[in-house]
Amino acid sequence: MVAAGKVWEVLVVGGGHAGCEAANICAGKGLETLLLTGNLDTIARMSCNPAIGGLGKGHMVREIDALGGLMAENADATALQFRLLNRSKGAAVRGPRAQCDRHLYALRMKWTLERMEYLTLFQDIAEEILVEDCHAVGVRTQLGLELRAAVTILTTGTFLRGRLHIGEKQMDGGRLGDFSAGDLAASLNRHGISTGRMKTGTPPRLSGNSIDFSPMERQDGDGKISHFAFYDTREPGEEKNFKMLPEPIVVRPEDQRPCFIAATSKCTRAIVEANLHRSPLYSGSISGRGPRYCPSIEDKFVKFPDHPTHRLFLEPEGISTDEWYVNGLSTSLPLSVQEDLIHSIEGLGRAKILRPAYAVEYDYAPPTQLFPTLESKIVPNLFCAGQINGTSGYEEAAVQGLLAGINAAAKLMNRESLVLGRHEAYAGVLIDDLVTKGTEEPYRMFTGRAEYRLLLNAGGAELRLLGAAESHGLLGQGRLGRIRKKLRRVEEGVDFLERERAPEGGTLGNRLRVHGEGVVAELRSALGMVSDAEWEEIFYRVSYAGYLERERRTIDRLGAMDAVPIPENMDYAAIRGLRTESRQKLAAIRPRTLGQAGRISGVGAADVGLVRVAMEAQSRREMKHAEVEKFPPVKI
Amino acid sequence: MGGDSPFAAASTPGGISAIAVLRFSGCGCRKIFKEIFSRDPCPRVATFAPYRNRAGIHLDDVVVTYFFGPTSYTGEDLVEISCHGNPSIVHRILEDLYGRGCRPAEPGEFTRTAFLNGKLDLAQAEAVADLIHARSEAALAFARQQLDGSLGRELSPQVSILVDLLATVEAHIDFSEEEPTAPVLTLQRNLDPVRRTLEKLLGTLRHRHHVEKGVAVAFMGAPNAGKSTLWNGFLGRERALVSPIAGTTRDFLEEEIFLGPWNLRIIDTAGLRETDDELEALSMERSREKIIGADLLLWVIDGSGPLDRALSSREEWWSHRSSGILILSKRDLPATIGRDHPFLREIGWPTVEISARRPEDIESLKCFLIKYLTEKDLIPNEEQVLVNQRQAEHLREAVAALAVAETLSLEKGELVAAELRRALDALATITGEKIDGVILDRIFGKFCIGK
Repeated sequence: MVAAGKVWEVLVVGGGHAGCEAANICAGKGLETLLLTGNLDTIARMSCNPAIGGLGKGHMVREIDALGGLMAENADATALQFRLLNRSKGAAVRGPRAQCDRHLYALRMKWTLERMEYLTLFQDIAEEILVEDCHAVGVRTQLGLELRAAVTILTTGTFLRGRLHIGEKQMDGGRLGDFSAGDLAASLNRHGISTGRMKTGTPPRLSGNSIDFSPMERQDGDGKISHFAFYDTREPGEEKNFKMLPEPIVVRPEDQRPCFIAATSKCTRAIVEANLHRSPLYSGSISGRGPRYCPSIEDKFVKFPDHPTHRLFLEPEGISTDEWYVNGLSTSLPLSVQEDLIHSIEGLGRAKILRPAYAVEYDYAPPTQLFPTLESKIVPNLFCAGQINGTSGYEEAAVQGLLAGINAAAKLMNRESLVLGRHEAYAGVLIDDLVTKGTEEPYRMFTGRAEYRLLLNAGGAELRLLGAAESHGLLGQGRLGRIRKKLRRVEEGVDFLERERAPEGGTLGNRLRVHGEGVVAELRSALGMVSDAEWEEIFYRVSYAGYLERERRTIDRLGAMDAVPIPENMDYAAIRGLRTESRQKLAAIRPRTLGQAGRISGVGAADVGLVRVAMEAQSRREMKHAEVEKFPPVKI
Repeated sequence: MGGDSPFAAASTPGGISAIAVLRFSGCGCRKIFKEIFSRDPCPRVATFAPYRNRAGIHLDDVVVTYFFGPTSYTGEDLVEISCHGNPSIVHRILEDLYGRGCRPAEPGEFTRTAFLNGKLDLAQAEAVADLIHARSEAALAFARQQLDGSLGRELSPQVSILVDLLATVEAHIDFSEEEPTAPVLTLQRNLDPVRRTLEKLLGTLRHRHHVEKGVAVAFMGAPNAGKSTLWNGFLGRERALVSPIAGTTRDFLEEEIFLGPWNLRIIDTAGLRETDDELEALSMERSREKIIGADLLLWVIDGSGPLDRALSSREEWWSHRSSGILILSKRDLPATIGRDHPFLREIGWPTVEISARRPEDIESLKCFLIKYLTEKDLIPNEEQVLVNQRQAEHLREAVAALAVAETLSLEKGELVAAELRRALDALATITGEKIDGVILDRIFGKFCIGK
């Protein structure tokens, strides 16, 4: 079938977190979809730490669930431990996080995709993109196949010219034990897509039975489980293949597995300092830019000399293995030094390294070359998602894959594309940042990146994205109906509290804002029957009412600019008065709206004003022209 | 850009002129018009009407014309007000319009709105582009000058403190898991000095007003206390009619004088006494307005006569102010009231003894006046930065945000961050510096983030 020269509707290149979501959403719409992966056994592989979610990230996993993606359910079903981060802070910045079983996560995802009606999985390596009439039409593979498709979605992760570093030792590969896709990058370059270099790293994995956990601080899961997926709006059994395993690993809180916290010692620092010259980061053999929020242990000691120790988190890789992940000890020092480092840590004196830490350098295609739909501006019908766009993290990749899939499907089906606003979703913030500002280091989401953070609480993702799910047919009718009902009940609940008078004067809403948690039981009973999830959202909306209102006002004010589209053929060279830097950036990024133009770094309010004036002038010129054609001058 | 609140601005340059023109435009004009003039607008008819502010105070008699959109300059409803060309009147009318829901127009906004509403043709459109450009270059130059010299220098340490705080708060929110050693913050202690500095800058709006329009100094006192003699002495010529007859000054007189770089508007008022004379009562009423509106009072008391307590009964004239100067006049005559007189002590203002007929006394009074005005913060130090109306709007926003932030606990970090961002956004509008990337740089520079 694959070899028979069939023309697919969607071709997804890469089976990581982005590729899985893209393939699922397209095949789910009944589009004939082919998922091409270099190794079927590494579908949905967690290449770095065995955890999903966190601050900003957990929010995005909820958004993925609200938009019909797979990650949330898959993480819930294979989690070993659940924690809601920032539990002591406001609900806007609480993010769900889970430790997962690395192998079961990947297995379950593969199992899910294998059973999709319109999805075909195939193992081969893409070597070249096929372009005809300037449009992408598929790829040529290592086996020499020409796989043709109406749209191609590239989710190649760290595999483009991937190069691994362990001390002085270097080898090609996108991940330890895997290949490198060097030719594909060259093919992108040939078609005018430029690429840059990035770097990331991962710590060593240890054998559990060689670790002494007793001196370490134990970190347990929460007493109350916070799932990623919204089960309150699903009918039992509506989950995708929840029944593959007899049941999820964690059903009751006491089923959870702990993590452990260790710390570096004086000795660790001395070892790093003595061997700094052997780290490719410091010897100059790595040129790619690494993430500042995920520094190697070398960087930690060099850049923060005042910190006597650094915390390390030992995370279990699963119930099917005794491997442990040493979060916080990412390094590219030689293996012998890694062993010394590990042994300098209390509790790890006799620990055995099963897999060494390494750094990986890879190519990315600067995302300013994409439209906000994640389609290439240079080669139409080619979409890019995940680390190829310069991001980091499973969640960032997955949400891009999902949106690339939605937009690729929309394009094939002649539907409106889905571009989420910065006030609607972290996914909107992520993609707007990528295509408007680009990124110099692997981009990770934080809640602080969202200027409308308070509108983006994780609990409200499903309600916030209801419109998108409806208009793009992303959820089943049953679930959509239940979300609508939930939204209505939440809105009625909020209205009730803001309307009803409290005994001490003012409304019940005021009472809640003044007394907070203390009056929850009383107000909730005043409301009558509301579910936990509904109450959580009502509580949130009422207690933050003033702030939410202010953010909405700001959006209304600035949103007007986002509603003004800039014609795609806008000629920036012809606009008088633009500063050269602004002209170049505008021409390169080709913003879609005036709002986006204003967010480009270095483009000021005056420049946006000029663009607006030029647009008006252009449209009036065109209008006048059209009128002349419609009503040619009559000679009397 | 339409849609939001109407924008207002003076259309004529500042300074004294026969007539000044103000305009406001946008949706909501009609409501504001009706509030001010208590009637429906009649399109394109110039109407003579009193302008009363929200407090009901009669600011000026104006000629007002209402233009309905789209047949107006901007293409939206537009109100044009011609008032007397006194900068103080223009200022007060603008203040009133802002209070009624207008916002200050951006540079070139009337013309830009006109263009966007199709009121200008294509040839003019090119000119608009040039205009907007020229304006922004000028604005840029102004902003840069401020950054180099004055306002920026005042603001940038404050911005830096706020960015640091925000970075800490953000790290606390996003990375508490990864960097548990983030320092504990006392918001109150950190924010209070910033807010005070901003409030102080905000206070200079009054200075700007004083610098541009002059400080109003009213001379008040009982009839025949010697106000006009002193006033003439200040002016350096016999402008006011002086006589030994009490009540010679029937109306107030106002003149501008310069003391060093400072511009004073000195106002001679009618002496105050109980009277049955209708005309005199009227002139006293007019003097009262001047006295209440003045920035500084000089209370002239005849030091050679019996103490006239009439003024002390009119407490509303003077008791609301913390500053004023008592002047014991006619010191060339035998003194009957000394500076330690219980009445003067009770008022508590500084006392100066002079004879208005001695030029050296006038000079030393002028010196004292400058010293006193500076001390009372009515005129700025020469190197002090002065903010304008637009900058003041943004400073007010920042101060309000910081005041809220101070009341929050760090447990509510996301709200603290929201307020700090609001303050920083407001300050960024003044300095023209985007702060987006700076926060992340600060976080990564300051904290060892990352597991």
